[in-house]
Amino acid sequence: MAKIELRNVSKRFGNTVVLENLNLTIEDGQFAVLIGPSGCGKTTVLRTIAGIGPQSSGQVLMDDQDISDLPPGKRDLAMVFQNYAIYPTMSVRDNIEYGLKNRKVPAPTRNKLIAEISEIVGIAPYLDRKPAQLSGGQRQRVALARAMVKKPKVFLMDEPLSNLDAKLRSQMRVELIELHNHLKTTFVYVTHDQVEAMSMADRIILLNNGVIQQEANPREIYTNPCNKFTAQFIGAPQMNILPLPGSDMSFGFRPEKVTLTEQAPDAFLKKKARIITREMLGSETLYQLRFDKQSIMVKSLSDVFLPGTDVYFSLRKEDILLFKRDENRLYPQEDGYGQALAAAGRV
Amino acid sequence: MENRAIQQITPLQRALGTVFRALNFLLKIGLVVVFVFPFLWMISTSLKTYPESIAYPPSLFFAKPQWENFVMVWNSGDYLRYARNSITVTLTIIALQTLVSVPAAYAFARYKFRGGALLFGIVLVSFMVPTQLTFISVYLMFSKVSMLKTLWPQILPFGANAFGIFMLRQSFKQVPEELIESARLDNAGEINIMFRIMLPMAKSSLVAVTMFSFIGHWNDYFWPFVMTNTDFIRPLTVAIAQLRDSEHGNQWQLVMAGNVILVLPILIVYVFLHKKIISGFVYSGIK
Ligand SMILES: Nc1ncnc2c1ncn2[C@@H]1O[C@H](COP(=O)(O)OP(=O)(O)O)[C@@H](O)[C@H]1O
Ligand SMILES: [Mg+2]
Repeated sequence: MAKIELRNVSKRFGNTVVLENLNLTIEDGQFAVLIGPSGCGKTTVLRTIAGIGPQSSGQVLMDDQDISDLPPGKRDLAMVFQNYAIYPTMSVRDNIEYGLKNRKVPAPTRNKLIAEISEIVGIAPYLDRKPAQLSGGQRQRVALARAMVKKPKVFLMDEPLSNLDAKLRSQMRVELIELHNHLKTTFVYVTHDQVEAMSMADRIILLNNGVIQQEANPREIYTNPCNKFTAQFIGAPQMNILPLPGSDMSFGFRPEKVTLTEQAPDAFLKKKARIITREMLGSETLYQLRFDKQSIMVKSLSDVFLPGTDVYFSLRKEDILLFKRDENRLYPQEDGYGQALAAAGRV
Repeated sequence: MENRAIQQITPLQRALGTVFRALNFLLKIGLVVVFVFPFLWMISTSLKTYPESIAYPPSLFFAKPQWENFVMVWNSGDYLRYARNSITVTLTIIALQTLVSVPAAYAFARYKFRGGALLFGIVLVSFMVPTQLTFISVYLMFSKVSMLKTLWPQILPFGANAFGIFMLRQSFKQVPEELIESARLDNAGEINIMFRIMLPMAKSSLVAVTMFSFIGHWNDYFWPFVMTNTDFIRPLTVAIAQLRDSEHGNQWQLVMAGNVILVLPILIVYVFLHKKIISGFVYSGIK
């Protein structure tokens, strides 16, 4: 178990700056999820921690020790690669054993560890197979076992579930959460899938263009985003954001916070709009509404509204978030909040 | 669904399909004949009598297999020595080449170093220079160091195999970077990575390259012919070619018996390794 800290880490590939003065702390035992759009630098951060893609400048610390100059094999961490990186010419057992052999772990201990771990991840029956004879899910488990058997202080996982089908993915999600609860080791988990982030993370670190947008627990990041990017990246369908009349600010609200009624309601914000599309999701229904050349998404428990008809949508005051011109949040204690909120109510 | 698909095939399409399959089959038969016939001819001639071997019109068949031909060839000279020379030369070449090609290819594939591209270019060029251009200077060189009475002139010039280096470099390059990084996280050093991760993945190429080299040097006639001037160091190929111009005219049945002896080891090796050899050329990387 260990705390990981990046201090002023920059990474350049030739002239391309991927990370610039990144500072990040991941607490001991935390399940930290690094999320962001493709190409934002998630893998780069992970590789920096692992030491396989060293930073151009800055420091990596583990438990307050500078490990920047330590080779990857000595850092006491294990990585699960996106494509698993299982050694194709070795059997499953040899794959798992390789790291232990290189650490000169004695054979009886190795065998005990392999038996224990392969039982936990459910690959005990396949130990003598070659990777080519395994399904995608089984390979994923081998990669996991190979990481676990080293009993590392930190697990680094780079989109480990992205190559699995949906059903297996949700199953593995639960298993990884259980694994973390059981091991209590620090996890740094990279994904571009917000469902994974929301369901697994103790702490979400949202990255865009190599810059941390917000670091918070899932609930906080969902209900209290600190800028427009975070507000729109987390949540599906994404948050509605509309320009604030008579200013260069904007306001946003989540699709599920909207109430639809046939008659004009008594609410802070109410507006008549035309239903454009209706999408049944089962327990909920997704509507696209249009008014004054603007369009919003609404998630509702009611499926009675028909495309082509007019409805009223309404919002409570506390469900409206305001964003300044620089796209950062305008918080209630800040100057001009009341005025801006009132403007949103008059939309 | 499937039924409908079958019904939609018109008679014309079916006829075309049949014609195409027939052509395909004939073409394959043709190829087999082109490649196998000389081989059969060699075997059949090696079992003929002298009159049968020069009979006109020639025939693939003989009255009674003349196994004595093989005995006669074997006893016509010191064939044990020739065979030993062939084996020594070929195996030493293979050993040297492996020793040189693997690390060289590994370095070309994995490291960036000053002049690397230029060096690799030189390797490729040397692969294209025919030995017929170089043999005189090589001969003079060995003569200067008085090694002409040894097997070394047949071995040393082939200590490095440009084609092998090229092939191995390609398959080392195909190994995904993540595998190597994963091994480094598994605390593996560079030598460990080369032998435990990279080389096993290039095994098919290594086998194919070795086979090619083996066949090439085992069957090589020109080089040992120009490098040797005494029977003591001659390999099988040169000895067998000499059967042809012995005093009794062209004893084709003996020459062919000698050739059968020559290709036998290759056939045996091929029977054991042919799966590996073929996969060395279709190996498409890693899932
Ligand atoms: N080896 C490399 N050479 C050049 N650019 C790279 C290299 N690796 C990554 N990059 C660039 O760095 C950026 C971040 O990459 P990466 O960390 O892999 O993103 P993510 O994992 O978030 O999708 C991308 O724009 C990518 O093109
Ligand atoms: Mg990535």
